Amino acid sequence: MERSARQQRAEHLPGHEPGVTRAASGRLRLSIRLAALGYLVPAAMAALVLMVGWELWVRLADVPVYIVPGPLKVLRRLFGDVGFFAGHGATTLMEAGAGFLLGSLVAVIAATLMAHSRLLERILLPLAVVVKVTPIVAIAPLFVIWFGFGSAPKILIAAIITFFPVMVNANVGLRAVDPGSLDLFKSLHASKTEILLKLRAPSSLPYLFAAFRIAVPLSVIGAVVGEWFTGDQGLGSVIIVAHNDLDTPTLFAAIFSLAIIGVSLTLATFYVEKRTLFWHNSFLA
Amino acid sequence: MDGTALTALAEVDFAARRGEFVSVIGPSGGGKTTLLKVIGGLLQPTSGNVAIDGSRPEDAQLLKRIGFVFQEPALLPWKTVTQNVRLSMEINHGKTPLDMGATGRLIETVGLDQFGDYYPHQLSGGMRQRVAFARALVTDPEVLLMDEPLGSLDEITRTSMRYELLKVWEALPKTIVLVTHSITEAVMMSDRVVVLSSRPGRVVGEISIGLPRPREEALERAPEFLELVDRVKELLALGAKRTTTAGGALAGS
Amino acid sequence: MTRAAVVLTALVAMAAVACGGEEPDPALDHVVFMAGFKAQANLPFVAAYVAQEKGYFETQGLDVEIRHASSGEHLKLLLSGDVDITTAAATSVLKRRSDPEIPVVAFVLFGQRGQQAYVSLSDSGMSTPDDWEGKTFGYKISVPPDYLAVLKSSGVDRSLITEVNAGFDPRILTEGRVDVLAVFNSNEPDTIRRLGFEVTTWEPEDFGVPNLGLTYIATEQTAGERGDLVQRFLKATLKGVEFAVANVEETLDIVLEYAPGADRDHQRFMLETELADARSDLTGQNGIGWMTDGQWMALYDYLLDFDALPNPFDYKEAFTDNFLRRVYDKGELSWP
Repeated sequence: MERSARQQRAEHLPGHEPGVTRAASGRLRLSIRLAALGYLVPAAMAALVLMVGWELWVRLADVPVYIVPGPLKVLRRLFGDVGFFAGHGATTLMEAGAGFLLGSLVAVIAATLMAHSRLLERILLPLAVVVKVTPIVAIAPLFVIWFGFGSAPKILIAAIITFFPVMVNANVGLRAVDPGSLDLFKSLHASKTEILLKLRAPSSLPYLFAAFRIAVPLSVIGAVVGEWFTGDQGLGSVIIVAHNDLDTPTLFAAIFSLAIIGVSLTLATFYVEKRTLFWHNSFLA
Repeated sequence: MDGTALTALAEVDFAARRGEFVSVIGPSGGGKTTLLKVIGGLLQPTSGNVAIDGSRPEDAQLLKRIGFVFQEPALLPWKTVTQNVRLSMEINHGKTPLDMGATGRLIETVGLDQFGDYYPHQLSGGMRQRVAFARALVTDPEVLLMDEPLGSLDEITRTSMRYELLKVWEALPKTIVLVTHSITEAVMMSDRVVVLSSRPGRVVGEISIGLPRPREEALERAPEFLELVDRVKELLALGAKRTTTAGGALAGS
Repeated sequence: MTRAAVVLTALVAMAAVACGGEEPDPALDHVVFMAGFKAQANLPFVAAYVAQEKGYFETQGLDVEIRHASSGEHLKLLLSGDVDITTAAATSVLKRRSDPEIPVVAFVLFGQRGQQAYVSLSDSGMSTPDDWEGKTFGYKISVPPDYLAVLKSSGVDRSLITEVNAGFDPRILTEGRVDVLAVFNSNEPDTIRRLGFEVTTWEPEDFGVPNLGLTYIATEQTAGERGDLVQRFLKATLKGVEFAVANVEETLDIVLEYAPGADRDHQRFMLETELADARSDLTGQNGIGWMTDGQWMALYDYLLDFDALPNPFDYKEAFTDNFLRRVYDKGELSWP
């Protein structure tokens, strides 16, 4: 990637000797912005090419709208009623977010318990796998029966989907401490709690964020799937009603909205990760 | 000593006087690190005991009377230099008071006063090791146990760091036990050099280093220095040849 | 054709004549029929199963491949040409023609009454739609127009009913999450009874709603260009219905071959309910499957009234009774 003039000038400033770089803020912010652009621009170009190809195909092959609508129709539907899709999108986002937080919290607690007890690990891990492989289709109706028609079953489904990857990674992360640092803590007679809070927890953050990158989009899917089973709100509801009505432009517009949500969340996660893990190898290379 | 069948150390009689700088040298695998960890209370000996000014190592640890420096600085990458140095005070400080000023002073002592807010990934290897020193010193321990602390540095940095370390020691006198495999380093820095044999480690001999302080780089070419180096080498060679168990330490000259 | 191929064909033909002494069988026409859901005793499915197993298709010179939709793809496959004939509810047919204007046409009406019904647990003590006021009504996906029509004709105040998208599981009723549930009359009432609950049912037709049930549909193109195939298919399946009316148990045997593992009693309930819904004075006179312009017009009008059709259109384009007129003669099915 081309370096901007500003970045090139920065490298000639005093204090930029090898082994000694200037302190975090200015250069970090610039690099985050450039990184974000670096991700967005190629992706946007690719999306554009895809859309053009799609529109051409639909027109040339005379594909009927009820099979696949062309992107122009979809965009017209989407932007012709932004409030509608934004409103439902906000619902899905809220359910996914709440589910993600709930699932992550329970997962981190479980992982913390497991990190201190091999026995507990041997009990909880298989249970978590069972939860993971159980198809949502089977348990969603039960959730509706038990938790009603509102947001609760959707939040729970999103939480369940989030749980497994976060728990597994948190478990690995809590154990993956630098042995030298562990020795240091032991040499200072640190208590188990101190080791957990001051060493294991920060060490596990890179692993946690790796799990978040997976769990964040998954939680959106979980919320959407929940919305297929009950309720009138959310993009999942829009999708199933549109599917029922063979209203493909609305269906695809809802999918586009989900894509926008997914990409935004991923970027947001990346941003938070970069700010929190500025010290980690993955961002220093 | 970990429950495995490996005997790293055989019988060892070891003593250091208050304020003395003792080096422990020996071939790899000879139990030097084990000895250090036993002294510091990080490992329990299968027999025998350790006393630090009359207390058990664990108690000395609790009172922060022992400082450790390992070969890898093991700084916490998410903390600044200042926060890393403070760490040894903050952990388990139930029995010891926090002296916040000490942090700043020690960072200055090791020559890093500009870099208090820097993070480890922004520092060179030598600088990181200096932070590790400051961290070990911040609780003002009476004993400093160092296991090849300059081992991960390049030759040039290593040499200059030796003299800086000596300067710090002269300013803040402590009992130091330094494990090293550099003969020059051992002779240059210590009051006494203890030579260990290969595994299972035993004390092969001890050599008093009577060279005057402060010691400077020019000393490395002095004939007295080179003679001491030779004597250490002899003991090392002797230790490498020993195979069976027998008695304790050989008398040094 | 090459000379060798001509000679070979002649030899084969002569051998066939010499061997059998009969004319070679005419090639059977291949038809792909897709039932709109999984294999079960819905009457249009049953008609095809019986026609297949009893050889009626073969008699009509058809080689029919029977498939089942797993996730509602039957309509798309019909439109793409992978499927020739499929099933659809009359309401669906009108909806699809309204938007997105897909060119399908219904050529037989099995359900003279619609499949929609509402159930509540008998314990609740409800007996008329008035009792729904102050209660919770559960529907699937969207509020059904037949429900709205019932409310209107009964003078029930809709604002006093809590309406929820309750999903597909009838346990939502038995667990008390909803008080009234919209269901298929030939399915859930029996399922719920099997769970050990007595149910009270209401059907929109009893409140004047002109609901209609399942049909067979084909694309306009198929009906136009391959009408002969459609007609023969219709004949064979109507013959299948005749058989089912007279031989319920044997018909169930056939259904269970297509749906192994299904509960026989439940399938019987389904079949008998749908057979009852297939017969009326109209069909008594003209034959099962008959449909009139009046029926479709009433359905269209009511759907339009309750905003269930996105755009108005000419409803007559949604159905054709041409094939029915050709296969029935004064209510009797011409066979073969």
